[in-house]
Amino acid sequence: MEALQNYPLEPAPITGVVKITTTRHCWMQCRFCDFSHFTPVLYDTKVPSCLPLEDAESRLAQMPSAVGLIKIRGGLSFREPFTYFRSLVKTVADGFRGPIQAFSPIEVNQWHRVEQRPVRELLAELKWAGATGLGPGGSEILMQSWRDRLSPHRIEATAWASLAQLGWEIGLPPSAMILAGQWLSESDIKSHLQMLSAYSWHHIEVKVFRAVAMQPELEAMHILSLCRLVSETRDTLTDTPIYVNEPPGGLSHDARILLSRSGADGFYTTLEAIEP
Amino acid sequence: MTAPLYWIPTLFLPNQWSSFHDPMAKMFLASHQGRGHIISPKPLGIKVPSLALTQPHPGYIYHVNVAQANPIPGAGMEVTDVVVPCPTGIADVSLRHLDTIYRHSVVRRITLTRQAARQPLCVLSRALDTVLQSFPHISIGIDVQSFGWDAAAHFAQEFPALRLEGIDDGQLWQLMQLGQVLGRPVWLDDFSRHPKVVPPLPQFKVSDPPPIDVHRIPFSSRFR
Repeated sequence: MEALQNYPLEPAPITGVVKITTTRHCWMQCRFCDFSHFTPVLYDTKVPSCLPLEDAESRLAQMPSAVGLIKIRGGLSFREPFTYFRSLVKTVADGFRGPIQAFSPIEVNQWHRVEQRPVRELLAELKWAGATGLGPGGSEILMQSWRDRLSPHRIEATAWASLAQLGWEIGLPPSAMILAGQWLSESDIKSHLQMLSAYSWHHIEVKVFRAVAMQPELEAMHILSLCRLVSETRDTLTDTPIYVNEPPGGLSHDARILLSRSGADGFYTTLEAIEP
Repeated sequence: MTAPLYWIPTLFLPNQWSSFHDPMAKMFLASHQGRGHIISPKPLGIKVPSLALTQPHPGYIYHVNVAQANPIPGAGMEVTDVVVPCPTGIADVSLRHLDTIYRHSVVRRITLTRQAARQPLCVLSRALDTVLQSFPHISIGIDVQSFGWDAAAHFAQEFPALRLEGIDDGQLWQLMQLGQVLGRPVWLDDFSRHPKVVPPLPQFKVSDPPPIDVHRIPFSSRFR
């Protein structure tokens, strides 16, 4: 009887995450993003500076003890050179012994293009600084049609995935993401999962989309659809761990139980966000 | 056709009797297109479509909450509306209460409440399955306020015969969203008349942004 299938008594492990944002300024203008402040790439644009290293150091000293993962991310700023980002990773790694997800292929691609340096070299320096993995980026959906429509300035889906795969060679295992929003149709999910299954990933994050204010078409996903999505991901990527990235405010205990039952291996909940 | 989800707006009139009860009931019905269930301590002076009383009164449906001191209805009671905590096992006191009430009177509806927010879903699932199988001819509902929306949505999917109760006007959008996800229509109803279809939520499509020509400057209107 389907109704009497086993329910876990406790949800899958919950990992506390500290998110460090280098800057909120970004030129990419993805339509679904209500996080970044648009800063055009023009000669006379005044770009505010990124998170000072001293600030990051002092905030990390007061970090809660239950942190299981640090994610370093950023908008795309042209102000700081790559060495700033490398130093930031080094500063974080000096004060934290756990896993550090540092940046994503989007940022690596930007440094590669701006500083004209090989991607492998950039990744190797991040690894040297103390990074343990490549992040899945803000909201990567690896469907070219979707990217063309909502984030036309991003690198192509295949380029993104290939760049991420270079992380395996360097020792920075890459992770991918599924942005769970109500607008995703079943065929969208299927093609995204097909794309993901063509590569190998350290883990997959299912990011529960926070509804964008005043944009009714960009709605958060219902819990039942989310369970279906996790279950489909589990069926497609059988050996890859799946983590559910909780929205601000977190998920309820019941939601965690239902998602664990559908195949989630863990949850990421944000403990603190460090921003400039 | 798939089973609809029913929205039964409910008005709890305060136990202390006042002359405002009749106008309150009238206003409540007027604001819900004449549908709605009213739970009152005494019979009302106006005719309402769906009424239950919190005190036993011959000829009326007795709304029994087993949390009350004396949940067993009197001998004269014929129809009963029972609110009972979800049983946690075969020896649970809720089942004993339910059994006693069932022997003494005709039970019309059973509403199950969740005893604690952390009451495991496996226990609830088994309990709902038992109650649905034990009382196949009685309308069974769950109280959404105590179950929480996540659990309620899950059980509405698992047990299509289950009614969702205790949904305020402000939470109707959640029921409509659930209806959309499950592909089930939402009907406004009470326990007396033919239900009325609630118009579905507007469907939004992701509209295409204006085309961007990256070979010309400025390549987006936002750059001007």
